[in-house]
Amino acid sequence: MVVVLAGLVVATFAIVRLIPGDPGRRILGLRADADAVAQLNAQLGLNGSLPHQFGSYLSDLANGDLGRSFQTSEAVTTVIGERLGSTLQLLVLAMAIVLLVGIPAGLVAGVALRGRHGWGETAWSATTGVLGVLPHYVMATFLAFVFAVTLRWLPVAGSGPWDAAILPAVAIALAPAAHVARLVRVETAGALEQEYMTAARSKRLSRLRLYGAHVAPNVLTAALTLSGVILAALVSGAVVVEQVFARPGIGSALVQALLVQDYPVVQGITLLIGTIVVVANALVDLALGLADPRVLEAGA
Amino acid sequence: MTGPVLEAEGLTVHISTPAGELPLVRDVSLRVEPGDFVGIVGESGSGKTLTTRALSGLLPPGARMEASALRFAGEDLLTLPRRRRDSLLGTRLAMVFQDPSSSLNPARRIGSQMVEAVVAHERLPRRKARELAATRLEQVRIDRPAQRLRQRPHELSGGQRQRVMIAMGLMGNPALIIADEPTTALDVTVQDEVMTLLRTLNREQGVAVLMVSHNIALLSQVCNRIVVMYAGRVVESGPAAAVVGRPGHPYAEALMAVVPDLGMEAGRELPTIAGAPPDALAPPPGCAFAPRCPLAVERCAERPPLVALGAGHAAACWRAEERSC
Amino acid sequence: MRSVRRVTATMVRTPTGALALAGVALLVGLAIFAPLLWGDQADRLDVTAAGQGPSAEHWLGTDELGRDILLRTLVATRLALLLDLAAVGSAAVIGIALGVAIGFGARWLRSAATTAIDTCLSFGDVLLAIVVLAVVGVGTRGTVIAVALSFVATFARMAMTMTRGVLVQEYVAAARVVGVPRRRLATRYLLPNVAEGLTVFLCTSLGSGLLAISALSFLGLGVQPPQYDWGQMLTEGTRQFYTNPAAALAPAAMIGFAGLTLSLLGDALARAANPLVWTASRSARRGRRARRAHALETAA
Repeated sequence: MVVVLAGLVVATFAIVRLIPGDPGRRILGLRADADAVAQLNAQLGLNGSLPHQFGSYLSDLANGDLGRSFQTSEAVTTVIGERLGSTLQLLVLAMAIVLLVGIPAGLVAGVALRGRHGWGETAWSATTGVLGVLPHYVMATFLAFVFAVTLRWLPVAGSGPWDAAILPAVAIALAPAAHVARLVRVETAGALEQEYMTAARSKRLSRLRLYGAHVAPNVLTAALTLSGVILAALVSGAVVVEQVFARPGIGSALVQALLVQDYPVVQGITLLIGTIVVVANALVDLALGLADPRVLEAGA
Repeated sequence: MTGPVLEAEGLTVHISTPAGELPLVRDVSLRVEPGDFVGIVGESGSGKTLTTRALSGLLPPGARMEASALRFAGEDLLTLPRRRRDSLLGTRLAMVFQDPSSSLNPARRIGSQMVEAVVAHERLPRRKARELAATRLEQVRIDRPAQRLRQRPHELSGGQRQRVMIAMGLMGNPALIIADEPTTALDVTVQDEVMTLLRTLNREQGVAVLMVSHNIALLSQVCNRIVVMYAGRVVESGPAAAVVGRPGHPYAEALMAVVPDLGMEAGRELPTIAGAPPDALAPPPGCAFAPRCPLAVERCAERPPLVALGAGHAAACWRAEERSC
Repeated sequence: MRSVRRVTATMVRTPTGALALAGVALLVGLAIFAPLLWGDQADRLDVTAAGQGPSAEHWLGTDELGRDILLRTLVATRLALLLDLAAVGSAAVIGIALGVAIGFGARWLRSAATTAIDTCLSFGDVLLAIVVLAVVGVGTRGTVIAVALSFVATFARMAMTMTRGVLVQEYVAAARVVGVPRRRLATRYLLPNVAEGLTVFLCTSLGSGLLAISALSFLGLGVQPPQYDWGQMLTEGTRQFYTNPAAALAPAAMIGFAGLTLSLLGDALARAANPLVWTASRSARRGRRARRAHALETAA
């Protein structure tokens, strides 16, 4: 994890250095005067030798200084601070949808479709297949059309109250939820054929207890394994979908910054998103480790 | 309690397959009295396991059961309302399966698995149930029971797991333990432990046991009654001594002959019963064993009924009477 | 190598296969003929008919500059497919070469490469492409490079896994013992064995590549006017969501259709090429690592 984080820092550092030609010149255009270009390059931390540049980049990072936006002269940390809340709200809601819809759907399908190969099976594969493939921005468009434009149930744009986050969250959550549901269903089907299920049935528990207590624990670890990947997919989705719903989050900030070549903002947000993904993956590994590795290998 | 613990009449199990409905268990009648230790013996595919699954209501999906009578602990299972049936079977019937490494849920602690049936059916408070579980573990001679309750199945040995399964069955004061090849997956030394435990429970606490095995010698050591199954039917049943000593059916005799014993010459080939069990899709019209039977006669093309040979001893063979005399 | 004809014949017989092939035929047909037939018409401005809803003259209405939505949607097929082919094709070439090389390499190289690739994958392709875009610059060319680079990792991983799978086979070990040179080993022993799997993977990747490129265009980072693709049309369409929803829904539907078709094609191809393995391995329970790897490959 430390290695990966270090790689991330180097990568964000490299973004500006890899720009072909003179970054300052490229940003300001050919007609800008040389002084302005030199000043901009200084602002980008492009003066001095590479090791020296990297050193000052690191010390700035350590002080929590991500530089200033070219466009607004705001500190990048301020830009992020203002917009992070909206994105986190979206991510939390989407993650909740993925887990609370995907896992139960997979469990129910696994139980209901046990040992049958008919229309139910076909319908299940088709639905989860389509949902799993449709990209979030297309989903967002359809959802916005149905719920916001036609039915007018939910607001299309803006952030703030939770209801504005529902449509974008659903849009980015559906595909990962479909993947989780498929995986959970396969795991459930496997678990149902185990002898411990027959043993559990011999206790004559209610269905809820039987499947909740005996299948779910074996299947949850599988879903947990995926959650790091899911988060990455959701972050990706958030970056795109914030645009559709005009939500002022860090995703839309990243896209805006990219369009006007506001590199400090691009660097800062990339670093932040990368850190979130890496840390989340590490946490998932930790959680899986705590849940006893041997159980994980033997179970599910 | 008076009357039999378990009584089944005309039990038939169909399994639906792409090739149609297969009757894998046909017209089986069975009776277990209080204190009985009954063994069901047969080759793989003889329907013995399916019979126990039908008796305990644990048939796999796609299997369908019919019976003219099915009574357990004095209640008619065919007419008992679902709720009462569940709580009756959930507590008074204990199941022990073949492979203890897969019959305990690997993701859950021993304690929570042990208590869930009595908590659900007898509304026992969880704390009381855990105390009971510790007592039961002690009863099956598991050391440090209180600690064991917090362990997960993979922390126990195979023999310990099988004893935990038995202890789990004892939670609800069972009238009957159904054990399906309870020792097959275990080491020889551990097999003894488990058999001794079942026998002790049977002798000292009067719990009836219905045990399935392919090993007739093992059954003859512990059972007072033995039922022999072949191709989904009961071909012989009776007191263990009679079935083993004076078998009425050639198949029972053949089963005795194929039990490998330790005194056997090394290097000699393991004896087997010649031929293969009949194809369940197209069973022979008469006695199913006839194609493999050294004593088969013309009449065997017609299916023989179970004929009484003595007190509680019956066999389905046309030549049973002439041979037992 | 199995005969292409046999696989095609098997595919036509299954409903998914027939559906996928029909979809591909439609897409390719549109890509070839639509620009020839309607290319000029689709560019025709008509300010008097701007922003109209569906009519007899314009079946799906017109955009803000009075251009026909339906025609533009159909004509855009060519650019979408071409960019997709360019990006995924170059990613495949680079990634496979890289993956095979790593697969032949020493153990430390393999584990280092696996870590690097897994890290790249955990960011998701859209996010990765955005980072690359920051370096190479916004636009059509940048998008192709960005998507290509972000897909290199998946191809490399796939090729590496497959190479290892073949190299551990005994007949390859035997060939190595008798001194067959590495290059010959790669062309004669390896390629025929992995060609099928890679073809399937290529199809699936074409699907996700198309979605990724459209996503970037949708964000305004990809195809720039006067060129247009579905992603860009979708952005423009959302601006007139309330007056003519078809302007957004038509390109969205095409993105969804193309994505689904290509993913279906990959699926059907896999089943047709190797029916037994696919039915068995799908239901087979997977180990934790493999499961995550699989998830990484399928996560959007």
